[in-house]
Amino acid sequence: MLDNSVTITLVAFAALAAAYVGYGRFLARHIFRLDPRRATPAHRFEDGVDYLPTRVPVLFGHHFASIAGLGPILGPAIAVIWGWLPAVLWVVVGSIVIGAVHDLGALSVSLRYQGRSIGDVARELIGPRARFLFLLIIFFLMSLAMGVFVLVISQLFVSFYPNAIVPSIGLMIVAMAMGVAVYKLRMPLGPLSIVGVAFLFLLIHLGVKNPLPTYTWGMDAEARAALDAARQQGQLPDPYGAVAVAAALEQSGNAHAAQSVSAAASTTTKTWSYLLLGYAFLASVLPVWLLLQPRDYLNSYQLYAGLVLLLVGLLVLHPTVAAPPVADAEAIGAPPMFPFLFITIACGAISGFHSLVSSGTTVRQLNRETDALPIGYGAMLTEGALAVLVIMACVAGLGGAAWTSGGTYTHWSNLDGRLSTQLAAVVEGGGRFLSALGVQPHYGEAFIAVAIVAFALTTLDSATRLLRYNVEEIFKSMGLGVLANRFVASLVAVAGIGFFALLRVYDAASGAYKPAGLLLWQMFGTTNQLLAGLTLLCVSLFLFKLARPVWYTIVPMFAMLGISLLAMLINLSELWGAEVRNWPLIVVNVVVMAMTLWMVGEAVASFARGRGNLGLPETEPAHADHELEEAVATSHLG
Amino acid sequence: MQPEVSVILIRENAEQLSGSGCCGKLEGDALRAASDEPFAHTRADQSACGRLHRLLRKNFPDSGTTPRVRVVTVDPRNQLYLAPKLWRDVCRYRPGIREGLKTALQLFALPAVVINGRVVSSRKRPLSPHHVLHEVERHLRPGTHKPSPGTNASS
Repeated sequence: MLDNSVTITLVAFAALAAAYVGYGRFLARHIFRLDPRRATPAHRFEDGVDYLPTRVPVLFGHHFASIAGLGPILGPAIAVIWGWLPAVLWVVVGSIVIGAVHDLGALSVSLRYQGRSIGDVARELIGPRARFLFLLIIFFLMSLAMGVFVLVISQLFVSFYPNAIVPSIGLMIVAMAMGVAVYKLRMPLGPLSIVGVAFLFLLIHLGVKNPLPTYTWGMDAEARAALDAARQQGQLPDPYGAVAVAAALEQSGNAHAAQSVSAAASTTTKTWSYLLLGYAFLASVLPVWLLLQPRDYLNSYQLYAGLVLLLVGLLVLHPTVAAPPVADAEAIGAPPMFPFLFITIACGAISGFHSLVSSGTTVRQLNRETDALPIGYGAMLTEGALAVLVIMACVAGLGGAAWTSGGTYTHWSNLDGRLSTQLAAVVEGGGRFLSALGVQPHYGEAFIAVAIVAFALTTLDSATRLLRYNVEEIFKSMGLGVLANRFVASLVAVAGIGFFALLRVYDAASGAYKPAGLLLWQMFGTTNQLLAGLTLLCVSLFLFKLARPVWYTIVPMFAMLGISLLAMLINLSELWGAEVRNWPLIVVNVVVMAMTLWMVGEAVASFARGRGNLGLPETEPAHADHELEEAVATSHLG
Repeated sequence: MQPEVSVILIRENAEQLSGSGCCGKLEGDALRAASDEPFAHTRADQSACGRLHRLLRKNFPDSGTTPRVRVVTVDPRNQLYLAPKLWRDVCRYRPGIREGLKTALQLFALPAVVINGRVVSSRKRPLSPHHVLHEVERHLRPGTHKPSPGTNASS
């Protein structure tokens, strides 16, 4: 039973469903005391624009599309190296007792504050410094995440999936054409969507037929000739990713060409990184209707199609799990499972960013307070289910090769800190699921690779713009309003992303400098948990001031902060004790740790101020007949 | 119990919906701090739909447990809800083959208004409050409809 991927998936889904009807309802009824009779901000300020009572099925689709993306894919793909069991357990248990509680809490508190954002609520409950802390955390969080994404996209293009280049760039052109057609020419949506999706598949077909190994452009003539000859003889594995090509050339005894491929791949990856940073700058100043908004449509089709195909493919293929339930971290050279597993899988178990989505738009559209349960708690559990599917793609879809001697997941050093190796594992594993549905492996893999790149590019586009706004606000709050203009702020934003994307760390084993990918992802995880901790602090304070039980939120808060601090301390001690000290990373680590301690200090001070002083726009209604209210709420929670 | 009239207002929210996951979503607080208004054009459509929504709610308020007129505002990127909803309305209200296909295949420009499975907006006049109210009244009182005089979007 322990090696049946379908059974594991269904048991995990059942646990999530049981938690929804059990723990979720308990929290909604007894802790957050959601009351369907109390008017929500959507009704109180109904304007049909921002405040709009929206039924659960509509809002769920909206909210889920808002929170699901690349995060729950990358983290689990790394974390399975500790074995499938801890990864699945953390996703399931973490979602149930921390992630979904966080999302539901953020939504519930924001409801009471008339739909104000969690940043505003933090300022109200904790103090004005909390808002500045929010801005700082978000700056680090997005710079780190986007640095990772730049790295990942450029490596995917060069090292693993040159067949994703044509579709990814082509998709941008299709999206721009769609943007003009929808927003300027006002053409009908249905046919345009069909044409857009048809182009997507056409581009994937073109990409599969014409992979673009851009690293060959930087190779010397002799090596390129050897490569072409090997390619024509069918000795190189399609789609000609640099890693597989170098390995194949090495095996066939052509060491010079193999070395040339590796060297050219490194240079080309850096070139792609610069190109992507340029893209980020341009995309962040372009009008959103031209690229970002039309790509939204294509992305949503890819998201839902990917989810359904992965699930159905898994059920049809029902592959055996090849990974060990628990791996010996020491034997495989991995860092200790505790605390690193818990920061590696951030989204998928808990994500601080969800509080921004929950308290931004969603809260203003809740029809009834009790709808916060399916939207806040339910959508996070659904994201947990997506993370479980990704885990299965890696531990079962990949097959035994990845888990036997020399395979990707048999030693920490094989992951090579690049992150693209792990994404390639998801792509390959997912491709196998799709092949069970009759999709040719190359097409299945290309579909998933293109979807991942499209998500990463969209995130890069929008996050650079967000970072620009963030930088503008930081400049303004520091009294440097003159610097708060579009181009200066965009440059600072891109510089922040570029700093992390191009950062190299010294690898003692090989004696060479390598991209800081994995370390960055861990720092992203800790910063994301820090943001989640700040939100859980707000929620706990809110409950404390209302004299309600706080254990359900304060224990997850301290757990997340404790885990993050421990991980950062271990990282810091390693960075400090390294043969060659990496000062930029040491400084970033210290800054993130300082922010965590600052937050703990704010928390202690806020609790010490005692109960009351909620600063609510309207006071909580006195519960004259508490039992009756509970009964009403209960009936509406099903 | 189904409402007598089902109105679907289809327009985008002034925010990003999919593709970024939660990190880097262009919405909410972040937009408030923006020096420019990236979604200005969407905002205009959203406001026009908002006025229409308020007008419908004012003219046809809920009474009893099942509203006679149900107004739903949907973002067209939320196809998980929108596509089945349009098909359901077409099957339920049977507006005719041509009109039904136009709705089900989403042969309309944004923003759009669909009443009882029939697209009543057009590319040139996407949101005419007078026309929409007239349509709703026609469905509520077949044969005795009277357009509300002087109604406009700013009501």
